[in-house]
Amino acid sequence: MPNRPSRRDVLTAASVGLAAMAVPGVAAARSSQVSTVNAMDKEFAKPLSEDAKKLLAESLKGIETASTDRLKTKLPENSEPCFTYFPSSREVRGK
Amino acid sequence: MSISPFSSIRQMSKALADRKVSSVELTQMYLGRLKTIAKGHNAVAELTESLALEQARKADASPGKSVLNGIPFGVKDLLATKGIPTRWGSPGHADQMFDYNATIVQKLEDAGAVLLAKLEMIELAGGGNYNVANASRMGPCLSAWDKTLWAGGSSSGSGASTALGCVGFSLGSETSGSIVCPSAFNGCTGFRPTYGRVSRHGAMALCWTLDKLGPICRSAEDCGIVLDAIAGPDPNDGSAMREKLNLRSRGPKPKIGLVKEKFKDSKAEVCEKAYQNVLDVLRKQGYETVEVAYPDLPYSPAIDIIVNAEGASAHEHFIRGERFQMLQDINQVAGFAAALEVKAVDYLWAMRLRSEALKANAVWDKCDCIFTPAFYHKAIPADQPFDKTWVNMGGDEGPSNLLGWPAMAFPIGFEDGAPIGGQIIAPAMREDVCFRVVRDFQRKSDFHEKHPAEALS
Repeated sequence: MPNRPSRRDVLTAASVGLAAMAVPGVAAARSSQVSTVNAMDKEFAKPLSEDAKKLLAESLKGIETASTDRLKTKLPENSEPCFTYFPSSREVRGK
Repeated sequence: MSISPFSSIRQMSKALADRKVSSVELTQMYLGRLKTIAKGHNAVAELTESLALEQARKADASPGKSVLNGIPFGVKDLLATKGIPTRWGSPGHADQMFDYNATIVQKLEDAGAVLLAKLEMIELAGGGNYNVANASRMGPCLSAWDKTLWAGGSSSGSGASTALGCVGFSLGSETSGSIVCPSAFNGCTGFRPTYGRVSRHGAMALCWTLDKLGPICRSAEDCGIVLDAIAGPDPNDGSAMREKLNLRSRGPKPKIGLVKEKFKDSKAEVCEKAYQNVLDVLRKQGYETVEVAYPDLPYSPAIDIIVNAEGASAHEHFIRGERFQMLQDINQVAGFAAALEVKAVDYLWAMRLRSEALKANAVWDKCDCIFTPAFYHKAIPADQPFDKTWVNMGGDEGPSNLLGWPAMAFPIGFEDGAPIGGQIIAPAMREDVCFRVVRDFQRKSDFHEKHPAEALS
């Protein structure tokens, strides 16, 4: 079990927040998730069950929330990510 | 033959060297226990009986090859094993077979160790955010101590089988908690090494930049022996580090950092007592402690984004394929599918945060390691969704996994008859500090020598 807030935790927090606000944007966001789920469903080899679609919509909401929340942590402008590409003349890296 | 299935690696090695037992006998003993006890806990993915007996005969014919020669072990079913199914705990990968061994499996084979079984795990290491213990091909893996409790994940079978004395030792993997959790829930000692210390070649990727492989054993001593055998560079894994592992820590006793714990808020009186007992035992041996704090950064959300993005990429073919919905837990279907939608800018933010999080290394100016409970409570029930039961569990909320720091989980007490665990976290490449502190604690305590009643009968 990962030691971190799960998407479910994030979602729960988000749901509480959304319910408290009850703003018109909520309906638009839900509609956007439904259309995303339907679009995604067409890309899978087999259609998702209705239960899976509901959970997918919730998970997508969690990902959106994480995407918004992370903006609260400002990183130094132009800071580097923690990986570096090493050029190699070999066909496979690490060999 | 008179050797306990809970014997240490050195005890078994000595018994083998003294011809008091043969590797074939040890192997048969453990195979028998895997078939009965471990299977009753849904801990076995695949027995490798004929291979094991062949390897055991070879080990008996060449004594003294290494301390692991003739010692039977099991591996998490996420590691490739030549010609043996490797299903990653997933019903959708039921017929998957590789024609090569993972580097660490090969290293152990070269050392003369005997592969008994592939051990069950949470499907795809739980990357889709599983919510039930049943997120595993063989059903919920049950705690070695109480079959109503979960064995932890995602290295579930490795933790349960080791605690039940069904293997000499086992291998697990951790992206974010998967060695520490089953070690804590089963009363094992598990060693999550520094990222890159052990080659990942042949291991299922959940998250290339976070995955670590390490031993789950019954003591720090055993963990040290196994880690020594599997660590090292590998031409097949560019992330495998060249620095030599040296567990022989010398000099003054490491200073132990203590982060602010939430025992009261988490209703964790039992864990608090166990925690204080560990500190008492260590202080009597001359260890000093100091309060420390990490910089306040969103370590866990960053891990979440990274695991989502890398996991979805690593398994994209499967996610978009015919078998995707064969995953046991519908939450995993939803989670992996949703992870396809993680934005590149979010992933890059998380990887930039990881650079920023290196500031947390300042904590090592004040101490040499950190002691914290693995969780505040014993294992959760195996038959209820985690979002209902994973309450007040706590756990390391610091940067240790994000920054690839090593940790050793070890048993520190019991809550209602089930084990609770602690962990020693150390700076990158300082596995020797984890090893020294836990070994010293285990020399003066016996929690690691207690075994489930079922396994003793």
